[in-house]
Amino acid sequence: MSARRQESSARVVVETAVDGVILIDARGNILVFNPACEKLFGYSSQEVVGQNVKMLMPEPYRAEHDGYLANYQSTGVRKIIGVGREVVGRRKDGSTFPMYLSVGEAKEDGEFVYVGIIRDLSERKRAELALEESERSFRLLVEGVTDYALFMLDLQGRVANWNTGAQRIKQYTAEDVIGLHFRMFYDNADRTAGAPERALEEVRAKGKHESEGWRVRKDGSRFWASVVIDPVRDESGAMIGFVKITRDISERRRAESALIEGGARLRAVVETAVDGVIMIDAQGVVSMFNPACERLFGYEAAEVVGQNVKMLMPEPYRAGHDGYIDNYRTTGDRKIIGIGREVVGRRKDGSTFPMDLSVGEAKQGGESIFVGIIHDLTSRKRTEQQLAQAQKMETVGQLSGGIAHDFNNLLTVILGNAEALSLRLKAREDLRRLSDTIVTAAERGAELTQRLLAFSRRQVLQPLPTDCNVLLGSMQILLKRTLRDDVELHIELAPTPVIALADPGQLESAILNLVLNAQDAMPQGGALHISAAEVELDETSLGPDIEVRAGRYVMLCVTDNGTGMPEDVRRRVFEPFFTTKEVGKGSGLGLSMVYGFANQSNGHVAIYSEVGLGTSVRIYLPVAISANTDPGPVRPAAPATPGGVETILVVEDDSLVRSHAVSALESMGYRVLVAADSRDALAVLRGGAHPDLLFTDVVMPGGASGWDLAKQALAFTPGLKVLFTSGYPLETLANRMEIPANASLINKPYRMADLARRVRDKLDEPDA
Amino acid sequence: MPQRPRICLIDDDAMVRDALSLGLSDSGFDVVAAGDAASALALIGDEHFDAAVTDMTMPAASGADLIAALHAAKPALPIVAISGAQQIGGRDLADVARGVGAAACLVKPFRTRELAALLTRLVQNSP
Repeated sequence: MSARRQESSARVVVETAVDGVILIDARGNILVFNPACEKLFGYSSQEVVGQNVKMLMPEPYRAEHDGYLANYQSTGVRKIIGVGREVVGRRKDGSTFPMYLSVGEAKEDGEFVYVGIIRDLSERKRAELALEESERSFRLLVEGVTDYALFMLDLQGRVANWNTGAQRIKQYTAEDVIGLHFRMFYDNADRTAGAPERALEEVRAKGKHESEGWRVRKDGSRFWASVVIDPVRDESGAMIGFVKITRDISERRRAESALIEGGARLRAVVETAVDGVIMIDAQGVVSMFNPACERLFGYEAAEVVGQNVKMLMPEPYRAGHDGYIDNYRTTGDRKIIGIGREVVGRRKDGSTFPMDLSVGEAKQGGESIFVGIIHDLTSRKRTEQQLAQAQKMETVGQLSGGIAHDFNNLLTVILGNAEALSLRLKAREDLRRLSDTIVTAAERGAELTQRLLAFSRRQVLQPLPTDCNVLLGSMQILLKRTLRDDVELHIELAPTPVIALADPGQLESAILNLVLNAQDAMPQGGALHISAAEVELDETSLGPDIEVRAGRYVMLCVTDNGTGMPEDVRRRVFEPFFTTKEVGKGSGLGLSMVYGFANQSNGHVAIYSEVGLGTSVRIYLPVAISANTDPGPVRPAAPATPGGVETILVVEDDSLVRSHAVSALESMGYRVLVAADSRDALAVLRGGAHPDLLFTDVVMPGGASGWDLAKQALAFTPGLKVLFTSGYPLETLANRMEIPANASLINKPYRMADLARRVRDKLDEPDA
Repeated sequence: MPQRPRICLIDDDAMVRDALSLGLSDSGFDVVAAGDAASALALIGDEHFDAAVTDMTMPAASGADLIAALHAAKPALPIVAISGAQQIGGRDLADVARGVGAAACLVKPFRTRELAALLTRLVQNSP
């Protein structure tokens, strides 16, 4: 190639070079300044050619440049020439920029010239600075992260660096841990199990390890950590270590387990609640039905969940329920929500029960849900009814007691006047009969007031240990005679004595009452069962109408298979003057008397009845003596009516009673002498009669009592046996007057069988 | 013919007073009746009586209080309590009456001759 061609090519290179090309002479004057230089420095070639190159340098290089050059030329010590270095250029506008300058040396015409190749480093510098800044801030970021322990491990698992979060969480400083194996952060169990090594193995195999577990701080305390380990690779993709990110999530774990525990606790509350808990959505569909609800409604949860809650309501609420919910949703008008009220629930079997329902509203995912708490009111209602009934009976009792008292006054007046009238009409038999009728009627009235007093528990009872087996046995004949032929009587006695503490006379009267009621309930005839047994009662065995204390009782049960009675009648049967019988057929006091008697005897009476099936009345009386421990004063079972042939003197001022006694004793085979009072009786005795037994009333007119008579009669007839009778119990009489020791008394009214037995017993007593 | 025993009869009910007065007169007693406790106590203070018959349930003063007052004034005077009820305040009437000094007690209605017999005995036995 010719020199000319070479020169031309060199010029093209210089002219088109991307890097700046500058040629200076030994003094530093610029000879060539290519277009790239023009672009770099902002000067045109004409402006700089011939000028000293110093103009392209900022201070202090500008001032020192001549020195460099001279120094190099004299000593040969190179600063740049043949070396190349990073220097600073100065643009025409005074601004500076980093540039890489390489300088070559040549000789032209014996003179040294220097060629500088200039590469603008602005961009590279900027990138370098940016990288540096980025790395710095990244370091600061990593180091500054306090919530995460962020550190690297080398391939062996040794800690390579350490950030603030690591120090905060694990308490170790960088000096403490760098170079140590990261297994030190694991607890003993995990270390022994090789957990740290396995984690790194997993990263090698799968590229990641994630886990939660206990980690140990410097002070030995533990925290629950969330750990992520990733591999760290170099540019070639070779793994050079691991990055490990650890977070302390103890708080979150605590909160989570509290939430889980809270949920479990809440579930336990709902599952074990005595009250029903039910949850429905805004459409009324049941989403929860707890075990108490299952018990209350008789449905299993599976039968109800997913169904509309209406199924648990009777009509008309069932039909109205959708309307209620819709109405509430559109108007906010509340029927139950947030209020609670008494409503009626419907069981699976169709029966209904009263319940208190309180409903709360909550939001779940924007939808309303309703939680209902259901409290069964059945037993409270029953208690309320019982209380109301008891209060009513008490009130009626007080009322009737008061009425009885007033009537007794009136009857006293009637009796007194009628008797006085009878006395004054001795001579007028026809008129006297009228006043006698008044006396009889007044006495019947007195019986009624007695029954009222019995109901109001104001009669004087003489409770005695009474064997109900014996009592029923002795009543059998009387009952059979009393009952119609079409009534079949069955008396079922217990195998052992059943001894109640009760007034036997009143108990008999109560049973008789119930038997007659039972007969009336069987107009077409039927079966009548009477039983006596000792029973144990508890709250669950009681019917709704009796307020019984739990315990052992003697139960007397009178059951018919007659017409039965509806609920509204059954509720009222114990009320005085309540009767279903025709006017004149019943006083309406029979069951009231039974009720009063049972209650005053510390017992109870219960009635069970179904229309068409019959009625069962049960009298519960306190047990006197356990049949198993001590037979006690059991009355021996008496033969129906023991009789005899002895002579008996009957002294009784009441003619009705007298004639009854006389015919009774005669029917037993006895010979009977009669006296209306003491004086008559003494006259009989003076007349030479020698009765074997004196049977006398205690309270008699004419001044002498039965006791007095007995004393005088014994004077006439030593060894005479005496049986007293009175409308008053012995104890009441004892309160009023002195009673002879060993006096035998039979209370009026007495049954024929009783009279027969007592008379026979007395006659059979060994002579004094 | 012995003197007829004098009875003081106290009852707030005029009809009861009249009926019992009539009956007791028929049975040989002289009866002076009082309608309340105050006049009864005045009577007892002024006059001689062989026995007293008093109702247990009267307004103003209870029969029991009256019996107690009568008994305090005349300890030897036999007193018979009468009542339309068998129980007073849950207690047996006879117990209440005897507790305050009554010699006997009868529950209405009773036959006049029953009361007369009782009075006769009490009057005979009284000192």
